[in-house]
Amino acid sequence: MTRAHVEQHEPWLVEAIDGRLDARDERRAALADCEVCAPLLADMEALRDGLDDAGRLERDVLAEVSGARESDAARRGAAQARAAIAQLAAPPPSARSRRWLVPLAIAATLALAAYWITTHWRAGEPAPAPSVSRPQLGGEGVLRALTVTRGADGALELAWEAVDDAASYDVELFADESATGAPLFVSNGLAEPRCAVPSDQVARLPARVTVRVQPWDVNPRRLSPLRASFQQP
Amino acid sequence: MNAWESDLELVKRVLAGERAAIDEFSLRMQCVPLILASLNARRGRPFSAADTTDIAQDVFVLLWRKLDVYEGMSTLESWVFRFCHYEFLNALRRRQRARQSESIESGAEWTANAPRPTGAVAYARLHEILERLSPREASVIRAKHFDGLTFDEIGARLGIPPNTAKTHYYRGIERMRPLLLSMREEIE
Repeated sequence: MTRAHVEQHEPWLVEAIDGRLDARDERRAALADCEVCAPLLADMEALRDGLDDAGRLERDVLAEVSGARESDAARRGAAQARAAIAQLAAPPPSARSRRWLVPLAIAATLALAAYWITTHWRAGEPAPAPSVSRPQLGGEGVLRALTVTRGADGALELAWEAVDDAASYDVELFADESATGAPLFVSNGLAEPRCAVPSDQVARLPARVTVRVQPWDVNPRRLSPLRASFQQP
Repeated sequence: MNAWESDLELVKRVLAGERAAIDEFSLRMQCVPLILASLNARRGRPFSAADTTDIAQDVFVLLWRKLDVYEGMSTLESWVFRFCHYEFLNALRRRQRARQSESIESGAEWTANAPRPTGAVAYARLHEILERLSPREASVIRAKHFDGLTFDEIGARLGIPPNTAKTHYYRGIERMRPLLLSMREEIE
């Protein structure tokens, strides 16, 4: 028989989630009989147990790794880590040898900007359609032909040009242009070059969003990641 | 200075491009292939040594890209473990998906005995859900369940009273619940 919910259950619930009430405790039994608290207790305990399992796995693996620091596998691992980090830490060759190109690039950009203003501004370039925002390109590979449209239900639909050899795509959305913070939205294993962001997720996004797309080939092997930023339409 | 503070110091020196720090960091990152080998063994070795080397390479790229978000809330190895686990599970899911589509293309029927990636999905989603909490809530939950600390110890590490740590913990767990429910629906 289920018991009625009383205010007293709430501090007990906190103690139960914290693991301070064991399975035989009367207070825990009362929570398990309460129609309001029982589903909450079951979910919270499942969550706590899942976190405990994940934590235990992490501690066990790290203890094993710590004990293997002098092994042959560790020496091979160290060699791989050294080579990979050295490659990642090195500035790209173009940055070292072509610094003299920087002033020329700035001058060319300014000239192009001046040309664009004189040919387009006065001619009254039509504004883009209101539901589609035009992306600005990021520093990684360029995500081409990105379009962002908002559906009637507030969801966002992102679509981009298919990548050669790509069999699937992983998508991450970020608040920062460098795409280095925690992703705000993740959708993996998309078979087509498009991604729907549900309206409840859209509400968590800032006005300006950076999208990072990781294409995979059929093997599956990682292809070059692509990035672009857009203003929410 | 405790281990996390000295690790944060090391990462700051790496980001500043200090040669000696990069060498020390490279040495610490030997844990990446070892963690992946351990995860692979625990899963019944679904990947060959060459596959885990490829996954390690992906982890190094990811770590380097995310290095500036390391806040010193756990040891470097503990922080790195999450990336290894994430990439390992991603690789596992991709392989399972590829095998599923191969069996569909070859006309094989999906049987109840075929392995479903629920465990992998659950672990990956648990980490994704933690990422959606506020940094403070996620730090407290990780410290409690992953580092096995008491609320007194968590408070000391984060420089907050133990009761504030408890509040962050319960709030975080409560916020994880609806996300957990949607995760269950996805799995079912």
